[in-house]
This record gives sequence, structure tokens and C-alpha cells, in this order.
Amino acid sequence: MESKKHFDFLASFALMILGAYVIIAGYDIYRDAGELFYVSPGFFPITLGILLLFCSLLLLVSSLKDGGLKSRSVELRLWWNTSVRSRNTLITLGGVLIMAVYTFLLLRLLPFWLASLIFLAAIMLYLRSTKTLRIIIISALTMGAIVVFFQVGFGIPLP
Amino acid sequence: MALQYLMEAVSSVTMPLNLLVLVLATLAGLIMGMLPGLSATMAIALLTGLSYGFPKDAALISLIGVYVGSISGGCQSAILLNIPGTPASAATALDGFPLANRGDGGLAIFMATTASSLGTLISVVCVLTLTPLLSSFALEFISWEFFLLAVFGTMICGSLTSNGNVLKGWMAGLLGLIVSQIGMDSVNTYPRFSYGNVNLMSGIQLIPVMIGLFGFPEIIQAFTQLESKVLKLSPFRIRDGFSRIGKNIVAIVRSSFIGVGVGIIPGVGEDVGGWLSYWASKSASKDPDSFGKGNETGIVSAEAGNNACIGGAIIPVMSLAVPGSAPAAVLLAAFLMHGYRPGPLLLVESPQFVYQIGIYLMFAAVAMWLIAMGISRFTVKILGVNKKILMPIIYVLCVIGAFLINHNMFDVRIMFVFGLIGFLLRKIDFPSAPFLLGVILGPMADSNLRRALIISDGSLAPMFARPICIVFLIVIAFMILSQAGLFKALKKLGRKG
Repeated sequence: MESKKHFDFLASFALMILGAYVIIAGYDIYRDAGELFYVSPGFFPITLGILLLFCSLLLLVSSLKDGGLKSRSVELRLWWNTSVRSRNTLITLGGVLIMAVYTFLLLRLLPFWLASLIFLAAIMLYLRSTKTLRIIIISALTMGAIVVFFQVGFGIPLP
Repeated sequence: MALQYLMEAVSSVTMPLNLLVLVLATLAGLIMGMLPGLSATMAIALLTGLSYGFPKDAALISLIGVYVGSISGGCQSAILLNIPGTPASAATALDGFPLANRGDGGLAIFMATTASSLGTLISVVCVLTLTPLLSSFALEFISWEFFLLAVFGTMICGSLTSNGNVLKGWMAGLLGLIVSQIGMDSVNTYPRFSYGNVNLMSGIQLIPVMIGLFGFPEIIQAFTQLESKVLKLSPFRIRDGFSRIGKNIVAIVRSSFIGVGVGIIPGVGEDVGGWLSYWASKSASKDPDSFGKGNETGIVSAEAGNNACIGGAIIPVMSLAVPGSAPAAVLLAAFLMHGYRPGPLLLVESPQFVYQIGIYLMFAAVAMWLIAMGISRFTVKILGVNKKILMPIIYVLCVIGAFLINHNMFDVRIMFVFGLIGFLLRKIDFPSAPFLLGVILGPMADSNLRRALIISDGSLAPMFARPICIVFLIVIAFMILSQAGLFKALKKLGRKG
């Protein structure tokens, strides 16, 4: 099995920062709420933040076994170099970007059926799922079926 | 009274519309379960949003149908592709694929589907008998017990789904608990981590989180997946199939009870149920070496075990409001959405509910068997569907599912964000199930701990004076100490001494 200690190393840092943030934000809540500590809405987040920080430290320690800091930084650099050049990474990033544009932009600007039609056609073209004409037909039929099934059939409002 | 509730449930499920809903939902579940990448959790999460406008009975029937169908459907791709359609069928692939390679794919699917159906039926008996027992036991719970139950649930789920590194499982649970703190606090109605955003003040909705965590990573993964070769289905004699099922009936019954037991443990789920049942049958076998090489007992054990988990996982949902598996967690959210209040008081407020679920499960098991047998000749075609066409369509359905809970586009964006989180968690080997359980159990843990502390003036002492709490504390301490290597150190000391 592929060793993922470099990911653990990276994750432990990110989660330590998150843990520290939760503790600080929890303390702010405690101070603003002005209640006794164990009644305060900040009590549970602070407890969780401390636990996350502690667990992240344990993860960091375990990730440094077998080779230490030097090995992890070498592994991370290697992973970065291979990932950046990997075709799969680029395909994935492009796909996620199209999904993000659909979710955050198209759905806000256009009617649902049109936004979804554009999204389906765009992502299938990007992934080269099948021939262009087929993609257009599949996208149109899918959106037609969704609108008929939900809106006409069950009266369910779509986005 | 129980008989009356059972009869009412039977008459409800046999209404033409509800029967149609059951057939369609089970069929949809089977197809989603068959297709690698579409998990049972995703199927139920998707349907939860889509069933929002359905009448209550039809919604419950559709959810149970899709649950049973999707867990069972996974066996078909496990057998014909050597890729489990859902994680629950991973153990089935070990013996199913070699059997299909030998030209007995049809027989393997028949045995797996029949065992799945029998496993679900046996679990129905447990649902009907154990839920009232567990509910009456849970009536003894006060705030301390509920707090410890939430902690125990998140920890055991983290331990059992962590794939070797328990610390990561617990950390995933902690992350879920932290996410659950977003929004208005239930004790002091103080907004936490909402940054003045009205949508965040009302908290993070469960369904968009679930769809994101479990659906999104599968969609992204399909972008770069190569299509797999599907083995052809071979004909077989039904009588031969039944006689082999008869020969393996002990393994099926044993696996079903193991499945129910695993299902009851919070957050653990159908995949562990399948593996444990498989392992138990292998251990009990006179010829353990034949396992992994096309042993029929291996197939039926894994399938009976994973499907019996469905009933097992629903038991704590109804009696404790704690889900036994990730799909059951979605089911819990769906029950809440449709106006039921799972927990110790469910049997007081809606006594018919347990019987309804039992009967719906039973009908779903039978429907699943009939439909699976009917569509088995098309299985090869279904498994050949191009994922690069299917997954974008699934994403549009995910958007609809996330939107329909509150008719709010904010939930769609939340689904996307948690989808990315789910993808990252998977990349770094953090299990998603404890994360989800943390999100579900967080409010219960927080509010009950603080309520208990308010009553005791900030003292933890009352917790140590309650027998159920002591049991929980011992189990939690055992989990932590076993991970800290204390027992290994003691063993070493013992050897030296």
C-alpha cells in the first residue's frame, strides 16, 4: 500500500491551525455571551478545538516516524511535482471548475433548465464522454425528463 | 394493538400507488447500487430531497425501497466486474468474481440476491422485537447518558471505519462535531461561527452535507476512471440455486444475526457487516482455503450480513435517534424531515411507526428479489453505462436534492463545499462516516452536556454515579487506552515479569 505519511504531515498542520482557530473563536463567543464557562455557548467549541489540536499533534508525531521531517518534505515535493504534471489531476481540476461555475454562477444567472443544459453539455464535451451530437441530445433529453418528472409530474419546484 | 398496526402498514404498502413507488424506488436503488461509485448513502440522500413533496407513507416506502435495493444491487457489479457497486459488497467480490469467471455468474447473482433478501427479512424480526426493548431502555437516559452516547457513537464509528489509523477516524468525528457547532446554539440561542450570515445562523443542513460528502467524491472520481470489462451472465437452473441456498441456510442465518448486531453499533454500517459475516463463515468452515476462490458460502454470508445490517442500523435510529450506519444517518434526517421524531419517545408519540418500517422493509426485501431476478438479464447493459455521461447527470440530481430541503440555493453551495471537503478527506484517508455522525450527534452532545452541567452546578460527579454512564465511560476509556498502546505495554511487562 502507498505510504501517505506526507499527507498526514500536511493534514496535521492544517488541522492544528483549525483547532487553534476554533479555540480562539470559542473563547470570543464565551467572552461575548457573558455566561459561566460551562453554560457558555463557547464551552463545547473550545473543548472540541483543544481535542482537535491534541489529536493533530499526535498525527504530526506519527507522521514524522520513519524518516522524519526531511523525508516528508522530499515526499511532498515529489508528490507536488508529479501531481502538477499528471493528466488526471488536470482533468479533475477542470471538471471541478466547471461544476463550480455551474453551482455558483450559472444557477444564479440563468433559469435552472438552461443552466443545467449548458453544464451537462459543457462537462460531457470536456470529458469527451461521447460524440458532440449525442452529448447535445443526451443533455436536452435529460433536462426535459427532469423538468417533466419533477415539475410537471410531482409539482416539485426546481431551483 | 401491534397486530392492528401491522395490518395497517400492510394495507398502506399494498395500495396501488405505494406499490408502484416501492417497485420504482427499489429498482432505482438496485441500479444505483449496481453502478460502482453510486453508494447507498448517496442514493438515499438524493431521494430524501426528491421525496420532500411525497405523501408521508409514499416517502417512507420509497426511502426503504431504495435503501434495500442499493445495498443489494452492489453484489451484481462485485460479481460481474470484480468492483463492488457499494462498499457493502466488497466481501462479495472475493468469491463472486471467481465464480463468475468459472462461468457461474448467473448462479452467483441468484445466490447473492436471495441471501440479501433473506438477510433483510431476518433483520425485520429483530427490528420489530429489539426496537421496543431498546426504546424502553433508552427511556432511562438523561442528559449525561445522551452526551456519552453521542461521544461513544462518534468514537466507535471512527474506530471501525478508520481503515487502520483510528486517530484519523476520531479526528474526522471531531471535525464533524465542530461543523455541527455552526448556527444558533440550542441552550442560549447564541449564533456561533455564523459571521453575520443569516443562512449560517440557522445551521448547516444535514442533507446537503451528506450529498456533498458521499456523492461529490464519487462524481469527481468518475472523471478519470477507465471503463471496466463486464463478464457475461450465464444461465442456470433456479431449482439448483434454491438447493444451494438450502445447503447454506445456517451461514445465512448466522450472518444475518451478525449483520443486525453490527448494524446496531452507531455509524459502523453494511461494509463491516459483510466482512464480519464473511470472516465468521470462513472461520466456521471445514475448508477455509476455498474462500476467495469462488466459495458459495462466502457469497451468501457477505450478502446476508450486509443486508441484515439495514434492519440493525434502523433499530438505533428509531429508539435512540443515533444512526447505525451512514445510509441510516440519511434515513434519520429523512424521518425528521417528514415530521417523525426518532428517539426514546417515538413509540409513545407514533407507536405505529416501528411496525410500518418493519413491514416496508419486508415488502422491499421481496420486491428487491423479484426485481433483481427480473432485471438480471439487463445487468450487463446497466453495468456498461458510460460513467462520464451518468455522473454529470447525477450531479444535476444532487443539486436538485440539496435545493429541495429548504428551497434555498445556499444549501446547493453548501453541498458543493462539503463535496470538496469529502474529496479531500478521502485523499488523506480520513473516513467520511464519523464526520457525518459528528455533524448529526454534535447538537445532542453539546446541549445535553451543558444542560447536565447546569443542573449539577458545573460538577461532573453525577456522571460517575449513574450505572449506564459508567458502562459508557469504561467502553470509551477502553477504546482510548487500546489505541494508546497501553495493553501492548502491559503484555510486554507481563512477559518480562
